Amino acid sequence: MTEKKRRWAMVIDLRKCVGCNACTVSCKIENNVPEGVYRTWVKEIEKGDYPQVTRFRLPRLCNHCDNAPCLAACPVQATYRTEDGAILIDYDHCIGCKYCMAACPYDARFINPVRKTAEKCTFCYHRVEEGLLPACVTTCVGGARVFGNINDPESLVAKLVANNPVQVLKPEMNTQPYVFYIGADQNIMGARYDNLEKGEQ
Amino acid sequence: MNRRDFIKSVATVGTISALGLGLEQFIPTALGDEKMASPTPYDHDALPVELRIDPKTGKVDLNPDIALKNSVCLGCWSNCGNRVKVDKKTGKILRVLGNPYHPSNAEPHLPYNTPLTDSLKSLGQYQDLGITQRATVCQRGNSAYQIVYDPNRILTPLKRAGKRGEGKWKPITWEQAIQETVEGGQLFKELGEEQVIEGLRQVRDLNTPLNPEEPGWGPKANQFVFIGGRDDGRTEFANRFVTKSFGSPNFYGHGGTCGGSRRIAFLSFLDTWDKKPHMKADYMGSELVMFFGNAPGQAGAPFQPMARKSALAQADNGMKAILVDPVLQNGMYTSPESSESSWVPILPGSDGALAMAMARWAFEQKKINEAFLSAPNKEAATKRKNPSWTNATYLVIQETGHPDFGKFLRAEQIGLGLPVAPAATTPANGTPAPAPTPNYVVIDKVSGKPTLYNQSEEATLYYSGKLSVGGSDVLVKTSLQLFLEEANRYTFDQYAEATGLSKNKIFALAKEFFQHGTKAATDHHGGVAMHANGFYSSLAVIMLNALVGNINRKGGSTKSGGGYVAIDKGKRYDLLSFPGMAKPQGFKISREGRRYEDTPEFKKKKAAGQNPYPATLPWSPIADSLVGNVIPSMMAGYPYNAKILMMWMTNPFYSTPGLFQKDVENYVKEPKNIPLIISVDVLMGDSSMYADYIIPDTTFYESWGVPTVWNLILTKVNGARRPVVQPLTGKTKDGQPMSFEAYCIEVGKRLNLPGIGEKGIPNAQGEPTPLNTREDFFLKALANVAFDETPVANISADELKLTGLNQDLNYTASSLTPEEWQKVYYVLARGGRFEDYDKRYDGDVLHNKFPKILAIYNEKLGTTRHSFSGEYLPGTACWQPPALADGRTVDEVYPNSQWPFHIISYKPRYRTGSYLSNVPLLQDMAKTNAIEINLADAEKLGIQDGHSVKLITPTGEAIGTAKVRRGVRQGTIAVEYGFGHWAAGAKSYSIGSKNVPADSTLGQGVLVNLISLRDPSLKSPHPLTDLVGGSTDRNTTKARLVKL
Amino acid sequence: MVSNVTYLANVVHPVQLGILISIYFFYTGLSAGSFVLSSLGTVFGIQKYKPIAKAGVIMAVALLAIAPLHLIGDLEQPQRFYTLFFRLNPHSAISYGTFLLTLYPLNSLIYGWFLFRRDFATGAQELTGFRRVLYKFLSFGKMDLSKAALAKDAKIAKFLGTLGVPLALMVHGYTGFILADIQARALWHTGLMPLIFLMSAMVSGTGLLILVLMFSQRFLSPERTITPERKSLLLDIAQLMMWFIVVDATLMVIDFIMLYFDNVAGHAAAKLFLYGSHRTMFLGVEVGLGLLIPFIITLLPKTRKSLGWIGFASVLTLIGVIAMRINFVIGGQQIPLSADTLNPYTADPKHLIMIGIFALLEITILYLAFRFLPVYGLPKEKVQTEL
Ligand SMILES: Nc1nc2c(c(=O)[nH]1)N[C@H]1C(S)=C(S)[C@@H](COP(=O)(O)OP(=O)(O)OC[C@H]3O[C@@H](n4cnc5c(=O)[nH]c(N)nc54)[C@H](O)[C@@H]3O)O[C@H]1N2
Ligand SMILES: Nc1nc2c(c(=O)[nH]1)N[C@H]1C(S)=C(S)[C@@H](COP(=O)(O)OP(=O)(O)OC[C@H]3O[C@@H](n4cnc5c(=O)[nH]c(N)nc54)[C@H](O)[C@@H]3O)O[C@H]1N2
Ligand code: SF4
Ligand code: SF4
Ligand code: SF4
Ligand code: SF4
Ligand code: SF4
Ligand SMILES: [Mo]
Repeated sequence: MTEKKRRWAMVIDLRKCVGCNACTVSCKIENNVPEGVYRTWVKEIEKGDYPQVTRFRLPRLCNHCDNAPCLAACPVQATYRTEDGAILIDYDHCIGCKYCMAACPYDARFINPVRKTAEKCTFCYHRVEEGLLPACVTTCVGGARVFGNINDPESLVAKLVANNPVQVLKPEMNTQPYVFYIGADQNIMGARYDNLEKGEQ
Repeated sequence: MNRRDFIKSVATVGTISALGLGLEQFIPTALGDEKMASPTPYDHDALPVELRIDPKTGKVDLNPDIALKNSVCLGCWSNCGNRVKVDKKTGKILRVLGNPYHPSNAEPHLPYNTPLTDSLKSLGQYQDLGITQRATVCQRGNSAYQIVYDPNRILTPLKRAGKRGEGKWKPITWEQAIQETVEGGQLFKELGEEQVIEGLRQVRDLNTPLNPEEPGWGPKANQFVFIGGRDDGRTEFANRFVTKSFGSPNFYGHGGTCGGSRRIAFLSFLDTWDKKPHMKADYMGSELVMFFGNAPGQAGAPFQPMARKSALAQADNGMKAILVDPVLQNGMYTSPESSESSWVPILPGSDGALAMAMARWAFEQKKINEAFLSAPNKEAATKRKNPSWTNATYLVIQETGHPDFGKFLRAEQIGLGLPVAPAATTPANGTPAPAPTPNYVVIDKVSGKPTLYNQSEEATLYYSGKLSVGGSDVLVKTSLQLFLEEANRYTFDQYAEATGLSKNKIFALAKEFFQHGTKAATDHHGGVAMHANGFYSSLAVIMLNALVGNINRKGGSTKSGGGYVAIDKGKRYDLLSFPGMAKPQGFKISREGRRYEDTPEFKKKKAAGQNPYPATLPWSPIADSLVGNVIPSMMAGYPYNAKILMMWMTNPFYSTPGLFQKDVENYVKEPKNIPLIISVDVLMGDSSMYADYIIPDTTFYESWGVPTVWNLILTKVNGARRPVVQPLTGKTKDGQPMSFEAYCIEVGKRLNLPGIGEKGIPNAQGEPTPLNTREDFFLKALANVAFDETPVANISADELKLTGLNQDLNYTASSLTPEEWQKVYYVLARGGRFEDYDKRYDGDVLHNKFPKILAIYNEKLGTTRHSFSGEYLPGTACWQPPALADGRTVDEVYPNSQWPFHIISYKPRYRTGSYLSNVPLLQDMAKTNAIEINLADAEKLGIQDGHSVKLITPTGEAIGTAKVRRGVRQGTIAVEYGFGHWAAGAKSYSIGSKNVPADSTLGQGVLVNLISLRDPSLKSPHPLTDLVGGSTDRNTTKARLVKL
Repeated sequence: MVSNVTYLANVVHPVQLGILISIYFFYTGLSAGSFVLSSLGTVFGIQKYKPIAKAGVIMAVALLAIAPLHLIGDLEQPQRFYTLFFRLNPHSAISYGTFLLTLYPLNSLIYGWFLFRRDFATGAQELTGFRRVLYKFLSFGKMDLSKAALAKDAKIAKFLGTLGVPLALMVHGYTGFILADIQARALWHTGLMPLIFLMSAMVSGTGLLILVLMFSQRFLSPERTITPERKSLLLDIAQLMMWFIVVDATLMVIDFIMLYFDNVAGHAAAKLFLYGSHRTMFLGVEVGLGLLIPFIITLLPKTRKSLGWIGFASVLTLIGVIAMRINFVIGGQQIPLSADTLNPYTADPKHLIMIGIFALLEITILYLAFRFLPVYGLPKEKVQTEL
């Protein structure tokens, strides 16, 4: 059988995420992300009725979806998919229409206030292409983030996905994300609507 | 107009003509060209890569424009390793990575002899090494490099040009700064201040008593008071200068405001008062770790290894983490399926009660490790395969009024026949023979008779009875008996009330903890320790480990691997002593380390026939680093006041709870009180702004240092920090970058102080070698490290070329011998010296063990008197609520009825203490803190997220923004530390005619230290302090909360 | 849905497509509505609407000339807008929209020209002065006023009009469609969205047409008055508007029923609009002012006969539809995708200024068009002297 095409994927083992945000900070440095916007961030949630409260962390980034609504939305093909599945943005051609942002179900995108284009996690493609790993993976203190070629059965990502129950965000959207979580609480991974307007009344 | 713009305008015209056609083939070729230029796989704004690794072969190709330098972080006081990515052209730091050789960065860390090129593979995809050998730095380690480039860094010496604290400065030359601080005089005459100020020269007087009427307090030199940060690998240089060259005992780290009482409790448990070891749980081998405060991933020392090891232990090894903390912090993973949280929301300050209750339960349920505790000596323990042993069975004299009350019974006191002691031999090298071990007495289990401790295989654990001592019957008890009695002093109901937890919860916790045997351990730090009762609470928490017998065991308590011989008497150099070394005399201004009974005050009162108790201000004989007492002592003039205050790497006015109120500020601002304040700082800090002189310093990317890791690492570690960028500070006349070390060396030379200059450092043969530059000192320390035990290898030609170390460091070639250099390069190339990962364990016990007896009862503690009441302190762990110096509890003085809330503070995740507040990347993560309260409390008070609320405490008020949480104990208010600066960028100042404007974003948030409790039972302004362990209380503040 | 949850940390994701896009949708809606009304006479042959055909097409063109400016103004890289024409993405609705937005006004323009040619040609011959020059130019030399030629005009106009109706529907339907297409956003993701957009376009298009007709007939037409025939036509159009309102409201009711029983996000959206912080904007402005009151006005015998009331109702429909655009565009993005609070929106002042300028521009264009083009036939000679 011929080697399957390379497909980048990330697994985030929430059992190991300590919520340090080293990922967030390193991503900003590596990718020169301006103040106030984030390619990756760590959502933190408290759940339960006192004193049975638990604290839950959810690192977030672009899912590099196989069925990416952002890709479909982009009217000028500035959003594109690489051979190995990464969804990237061509900053020289993005017109900043923001439809991709409206279309992405994951809040993964933002407008770079300096460059004035859409932006999001690139899976650190500039590093990955050189045989390196994404900045956030290299600096993940708890060792939660694992990156690799999911089509290579020998890779750690492939093994993690094969050997653990994994979750993705909003599977009902059928976006086929390539960021997989281990140990996630399906009930509280997405948005929360029951108290939308707290603090407003 | 560049090419791209040109194309764009052509394109616009082109498109307008092609409008509506929408067909690419009609587009002019130039446009097509532009289209072809995409997609852009390389993000233009991303950093250049440092190297390329072939994912198939692992071949590494370096980017010639970039250097990777292994060094040591100081983004917090954890001293992890790092690998700094530097742009060779600009010399600037681009990014910071982890050092895979350093055990704080990687789990496991690389074998020390791994070739450097192989260590680079830990960045890549090849064989997933980038995952399995991942070397990380934390959020602060990633970003702290930005302080180097802070636009407002202090790069030249500054002299006050207005009133103290007024924010007017003028730049002065290095020479002027040295001249004036050393020689003194009417330094501020031009400001109309006529006062003649004594400089370092006048104060450095080791003969004249500072108080001629009471010469016992010590010489004038003691009036030079130095406050520094904690151990960062440079501190020993400062200590050597202050205590050994200058001769003042008043050298302080920040221990007393850091984890003070915890450390002292460990010293008591380990009965080791010189080397200051302390312990942590070995998470990776543990089944259960009970974190009392100190949540891994929240703060903790060392932050990064704690976070990583606990995460890996929980996920991979099934370790369970229980978090006893008024705040649900990060670091515990709870599976979504689990119905119960392992968070224990304890009432602040009551950890001692919980631990003593758990101990009581274990005694009652017979769950303590009797086999371990009953071994009276090392041999007996070894026979039972226990890697440690205790004094649990040793008899202690408990006869009230007996002159030896609190002391261990000695065999000679009851006429036990002693074995012949071997003749004391003095080894050739001059080190004195070890002091003979006292002849402790146990009740032998078999014979039931008092027996010499080392003649019994197994001794009685619980004994209370009278023995004939010197003819009279004297009450003696075993150490464990004393501990048992303390545990039984309160009922479970009382313990439950004290902790705010139910009895059943306490039983459940105890049951769970003790069922894991030696594979359960406790971990704690500031949360337990930073209360007025911090010492005994810490000791109680520590004692749970003794009861299960986990010390020196895999998965138990570890004193950590420690470091190699560095700033010490080593194989190459003696950095510990030198000819002419001064020995500080008298008493420390902080009232620590010596008994009140030895002071001139006590003696005078005694001689005058007065009741010597209470002391004017309390004393803490077994504690050290009571930095929080320093200014209050000065203000009280007790025991004396100071002439020169020097601060370095610290911000005590900000960081000391309960200190900096109007009275203290006014005191500090008046030059008559402390005539000369010198601060060595990198920026205009909240404390430095009150100085007379500010000496610029190098940041940790520009400094040297030889730090070890605080704790938790089972193998030996010595980081090697070196300047990875050219210091930005100005240069002195002889070309040294201005820095703390350069200042000390010049002052030392000018005053002809011992241990500095041409003959500053003796080598191992006792021959003098120079200490003229900072490199002289730190490279010699590194030579000691390199040559310790089996010396490290010489660096290979390849690695030397790869690192360019010899070029980087050629300016300092003369600091070492060529032979030393080859090894020091090897160490520098790897960012330190690290023992291999497989040296963690020998089977089921730790490789690096604490080698001495453990104290269930500590004699030094049990024979110390309280300087107010005159009573003996309990010699074992016990439960004591937080109290004032006069013994009244905080709750009595500030009852819940009026002060329903407790404020506690915890460490900032995106700052380090008061430091890093001006790092833009961290500002971006958090600009302010919040007043965090429980949902139920918030509902009661009608408070919602984002509401403005006011905190009222007995000492002051603060306004902040509410954050409503589930994970805060009801009745507790939590406030993150590290915010609410009044300087460090938040206040404008001027240097000469240049105005440095304030950045309004930098000072946001609340600093609870400004409203933390003081001790109202003391006659002068004084933070609430743990008189035994020396902690400045930061977590007992009682408060009211109002919605605004 | 788990309710015992509190967020400690998250990143705020402000609403991206804001007021400019809402107003853009408003303009395209107005344009589409006007066009459809214009076509009632020419395409569908309903004689009584013939007199408004020209007015309708002028509005359709003038509105659609300005509408895309909002779109371009909203781009972060407005100077790159032209790439929309040649970097197509067959999966992107916007890519299609680009061409619709180009073809539809072009088509309308040509269609309009055929409606006007007769007047241009006549005017070029009969009038004097400025208008003569203008009309001569605008007739592009096609002066043939023969019956055959005029019949041919009418035929072509009918053809283009026939083409224009679906284009207009598509232009506006597509704006609804680009929202409907987005599965991520609960409020948008419904097949009804294009229809809702269309119907509200008809409502607002009619409303604006009524107002423009009233104003232009009174002040700019050769007669300078609202003649009885004109009045009855206006009242007639108002009755049309009422039916549009009825359909629009029906769609809205269906939509909200579906939304209410949709997934959690949809339910949350429905609650937000029905009792949440958006209830004033939705129930009050969009539904109450924009649909209910105009419906009552156009229903009650007393008010539906009064031009004043009808004018008032028309103003209200415009306000209501602006509110509807804002509610759906911005409100739809306020429902969080990853947060626990509404995504915030603050209008960029730059955008507000742009909207103001574009509106002025629009009014100027409309004024000039109604002032100088023979919307209501050629002026009497005495009018010319005024020039
Ligand atoms: N309320 C409350 N108070 C607390 C704590 C708490 O949790 N809550 N924590 C306590 C603890 S644990 C500690 S350790 C203390 C820490 O308190 P401090 O020992 O005072 O240390 P930092 O706050 O880290 O301040 C260090 C200062 O050194 C300066 N500095 C930084 N780098 C350099 C350098 O390279 N050279 C020189 N010369 N100066 C430098 C910076 O200006 C900074 O202000 O705070 C204590 N105070
Ligand atoms: N992110 C970050 N990490 C750091 C530092 C930093 O500034 N920032 N500083 C470093 C330094 S200097 C030090 S000393 C260490 C300190 O490490 P820690 O001592 O672990 O840190 P703190 O935040 O001071 O600890 C306070 C913890 O105890 C809890 N607590 C408060 N009162 C009580 C109590 O009465 N009982 C119990 N059980 N818990 C209580 C608080 O909620 C908080 O979780 O952290 C180091 N690591
Ligand atoms: S997460 Fe969002 S931005 Fe990323 S590929 Fe999926 S849809 Fe696109
Ligand atoms: S903002 Fe840029 S990337 Fe996103 S859809 Fe528009 S052109 Fe494409
Ligand atoms: S992969 Fe790179 S771009 Fe994406 S979140 Fe991680 S560091 Fe940021
Ligand atoms: S760096 Fe890793 S452990 Fe830290 S927050 Fe990010 S994912 Fe979690
Ligand atoms: S834990 Fe402290 S020393 Fe370690 S990387 Fe983080 S900031 Fe640096
Ligand atoms: Mo500390």
